[in-house]
Amino acid sequence: MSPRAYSDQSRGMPALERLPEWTPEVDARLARVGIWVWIGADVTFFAAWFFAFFYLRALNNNNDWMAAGVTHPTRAIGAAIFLLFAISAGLFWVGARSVVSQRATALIFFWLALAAGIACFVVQIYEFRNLGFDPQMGGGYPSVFIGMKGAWLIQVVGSMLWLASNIAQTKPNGDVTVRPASATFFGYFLVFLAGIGLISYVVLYFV
Amino acid sequence: MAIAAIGNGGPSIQTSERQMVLPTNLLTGIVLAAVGYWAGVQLGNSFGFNDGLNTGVLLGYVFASIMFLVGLGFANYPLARLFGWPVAPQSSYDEHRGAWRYLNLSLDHKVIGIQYLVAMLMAMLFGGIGAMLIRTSLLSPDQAVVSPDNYLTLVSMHSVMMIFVASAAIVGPFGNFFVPYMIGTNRMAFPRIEALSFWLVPPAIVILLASPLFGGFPTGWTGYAPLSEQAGQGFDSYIVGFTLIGLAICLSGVNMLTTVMCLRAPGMTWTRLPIFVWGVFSTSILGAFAAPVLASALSMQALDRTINTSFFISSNGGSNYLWENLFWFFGHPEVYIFILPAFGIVMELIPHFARKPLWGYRTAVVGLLGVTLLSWFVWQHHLFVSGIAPALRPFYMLSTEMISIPTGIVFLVAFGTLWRARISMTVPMLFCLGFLFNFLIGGLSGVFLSDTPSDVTLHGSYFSMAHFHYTIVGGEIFAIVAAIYYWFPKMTGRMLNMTMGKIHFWWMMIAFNLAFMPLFAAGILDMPRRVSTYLPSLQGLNDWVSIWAYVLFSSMIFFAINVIWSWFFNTKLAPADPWHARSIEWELPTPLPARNFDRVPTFTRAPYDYGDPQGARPSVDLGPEPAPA
Amino acid sequence: MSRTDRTHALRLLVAWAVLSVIGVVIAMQVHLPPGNQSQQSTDTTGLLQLMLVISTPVFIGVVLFILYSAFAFRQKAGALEDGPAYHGNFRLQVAWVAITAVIVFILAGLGISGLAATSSGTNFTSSTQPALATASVGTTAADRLQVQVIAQQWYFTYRYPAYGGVESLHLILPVDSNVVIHVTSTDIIHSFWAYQLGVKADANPGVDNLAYVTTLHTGSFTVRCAELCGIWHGNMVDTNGAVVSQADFATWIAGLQKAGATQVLPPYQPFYFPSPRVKGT
Repeated sequence: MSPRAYSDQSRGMPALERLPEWTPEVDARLARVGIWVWIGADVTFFAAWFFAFFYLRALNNNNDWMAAGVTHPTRAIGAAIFLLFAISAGLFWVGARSVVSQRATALIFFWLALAAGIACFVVQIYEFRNLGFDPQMGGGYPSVFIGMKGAWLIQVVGSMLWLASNIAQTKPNGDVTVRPASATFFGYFLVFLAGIGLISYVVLYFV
Repeated sequence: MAIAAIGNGGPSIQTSERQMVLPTNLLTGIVLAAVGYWAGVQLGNSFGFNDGLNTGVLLGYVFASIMFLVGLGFANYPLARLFGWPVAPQSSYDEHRGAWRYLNLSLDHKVIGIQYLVAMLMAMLFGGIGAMLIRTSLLSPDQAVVSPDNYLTLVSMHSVMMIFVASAAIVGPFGNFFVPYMIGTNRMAFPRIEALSFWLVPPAIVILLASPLFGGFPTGWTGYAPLSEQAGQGFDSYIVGFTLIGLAICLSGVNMLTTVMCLRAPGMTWTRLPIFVWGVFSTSILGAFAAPVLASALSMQALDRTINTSFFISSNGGSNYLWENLFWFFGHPEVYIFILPAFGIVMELIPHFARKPLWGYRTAVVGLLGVTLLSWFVWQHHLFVSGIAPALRPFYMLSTEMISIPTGIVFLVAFGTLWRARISMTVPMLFCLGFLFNFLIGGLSGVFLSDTPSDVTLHGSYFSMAHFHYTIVGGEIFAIVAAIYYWFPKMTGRMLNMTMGKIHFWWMMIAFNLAFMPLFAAGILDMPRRVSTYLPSLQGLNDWVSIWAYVLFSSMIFFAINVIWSWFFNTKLAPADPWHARSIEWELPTPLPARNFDRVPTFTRAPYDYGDPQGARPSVDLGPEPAPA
Repeated sequence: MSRTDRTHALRLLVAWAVLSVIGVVIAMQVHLPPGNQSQQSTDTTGLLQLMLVISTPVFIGVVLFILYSAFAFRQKAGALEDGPAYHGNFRLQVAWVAITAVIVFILAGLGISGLAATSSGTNFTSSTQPALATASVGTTAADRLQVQVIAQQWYFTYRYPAYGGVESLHLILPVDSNVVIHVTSTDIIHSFWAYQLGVKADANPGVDNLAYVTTLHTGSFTVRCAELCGIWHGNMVDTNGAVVSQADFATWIAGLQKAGATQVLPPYQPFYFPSPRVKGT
């Protein structure tokens, strides 16, 4: 299980980077285009949730969009959830800009970003346990709230794991240092997810 | 014995996916999947929801799928990253030659193409057996053969399995195998994602096949709520299986789009792309952006069945229209995902067998992109009689009718290419012509369905069933078979037996048309879909259809015999260019070298340059010899 | 266009014209369902006939072209010659797209006109609710008989609100009447399909889905469910629907009223919300 099993340099073979299809420039371009396509796909994913929100709200079948006794959850907590993730995305973005020139500083930003993301997760779990309504009792709004936030949370967890792996690779000869473009474009995804967090905050807590 | 015509290349430059704790391979994957299933069931049932034990089954399937992928080795790279180990980029061809790499995680697009081909053929076999059982039940107008709930499970299994096949059966095997060659690169953009998109398919198939063990499900492939919420645990197979396939479609789409946009070799401009690549590209647009909507809708179904949310229950603030709209917003682009690569294949093959350039290349591209664009705006034609707002019907009728314009362009281009050609009536060409005939009927019947007043009679009847079987089976499956006969020599190094191929064509063509043509009549004569009983006066018609369906199935068995014999028992190596076609993949040797191109190729000519007065010239410059080191 | 091009083209065009005429004549003789029991079914039959007639020359043209090419444009045995390097013909491509577009817009226009109103006198009237509201299509207009179709697993019940909400398991309608059908469900999605009447409308829980019928001739009709609704979906059939004379209808409904409405269903409402199911039952 030696880490050297993952490196060609140790086996005396020519570095892959010299092959035209594996140069860092090619990887950078693939990362940029790939992340935009992925973000586009994720846009339609969340669009389906927003459609569910507005459609069920308009239909208000059996007057059960928001039954009596169901209210919007606390806006402060919702704001905290969004802001923590936005901070995480912002910190990572700043860090990724300087990961080559000032690696140590970038690492600090990345750690702070991870901390903010984990805090966001914790607060969201807290909110799920203190909603003020029980989705098992039915109702359109509770269903969409749980579903949309749950889907967003799953993507938050996945991106925090990837962020952690970026931290681990921000070291001399690490993947992020040798190929910083993939970290930069991962930052785009975090900003996108923060944007969805903002829109869902407005829609779920104010509409 | 070589599984595929991928020979031994030069010194391998490979960083293999080494094991973490356990050796990661298919066996580990299966063992971990079983463990994961058990763990998921325990966890799911521990929550104590009033859920008919659905949470356990759903989590069991999800954990099983994840652990299967972990066991195969997909977690190695993310975990290596997480542990801070050096992770050099992976090369796209395997260090180890040998048959076992076809059963394991491979990053070689050629290996993935072969894996997809075998998986798709096996899934088609399962779906076909379901069809035979359905037609057997329909020999009698009463439920004499099979009980009603078993019948519906058969219908659901057949339809969902065939949907899985149709979604990926062209892009999976042929897109993955040939697009890198056609654009002149050694790799796909994201080889691990490409491998993942394949390895999501076997779990989806197994999970679907497990459904009868839990009672099956009665909804057919459309999964309408609230009927779905009455279904037992069998429906959880539908939710997880379809989500896995949706994820595979989305990932494959993202990968293909990025590959074609970024990795084209010098000289391979957008206007020189082979039309097959355009077909794959346009399908990938639909796949990447429509499949997530399905994932979203399926998660709503899962939530309704576990924590009792009420997305689709109208008495609790939900609406069955929510599912119908989300499903069909995905579902309509889905059927264009089926047919666009088929258009790509037919427009790719005809020029080579007519020995003429593709007539109206740019119009063909406009046609493919036109279908791609319009397919987003038509989905409510599935809902004409569902009770949608009346003002919507004229718009959707118009948009649906309009989509026949770019579809007709395919016929225009095919005809222009056939005009004054020198046609070699090879087996692939026969299937392409069969495609044109079948898709004509399928397309025309679509026009009948798109007109709302006539749709009132035809919706939900056997007419619509005949329509989509003509387009999907008569269209896409015929194109797949053409592609197999065409590209088999390059993928496996063996020629399929062409005499058997010609017999296969006529057998399949005649049986298919005799089986499905009467179904238009059945629909017009008041036979709805998905029923195991019908008017006794229609028994003669149904028995005729069933008999010809058996004949059709046997023609596919005959084809399978050809494939298996030619692949594994015939040792004669196929020539490098059996069709004398001028396309990059035929200018390379058989067997293909492990590394596609040693030097970056430069494309110097447009494809299909037949009829050139200067005679045939290679379309690609494989680069000068490297200077001695 | 070279002389050979013109020869082939002329041959094809002549063959197409001749075969199309024959084909269209045959297509016009084909007796298409659903018949003429209602205005809607009459117009559906007419529309199906029209589309069959339009499809016939298209079908003949394509098949003729494929067969002609397969024989006339063959590679000589053993040879490997290229065909001429035709890359396209802009005017021909534009003409094709334009012609297909025109056919498409004509068909769409005809279909849309059928959606615009439900009163007879408009061609190709559809049973669906009209897309454009006109004065004659009020749902509670006095000249229209209101019938509620209640679908459930696995049968239909018909209610006549104007006659005290009497219920019947068979749909009986008077002839020469404008009927508004309110289709709804008490459990899951079904679809009310009265074949000979040319009516189909989905039955959704909690939704009042409207369909319009104008009955023209007496006779029986079959009602089936057209949306998969579980294991007995295929058995959800009633062959005892009938259009009867107005006098017979009055007698029949008076008989129902005298017998007393059998309260098997909840009290009359425009639509019904099913109670939540308990999972696992």
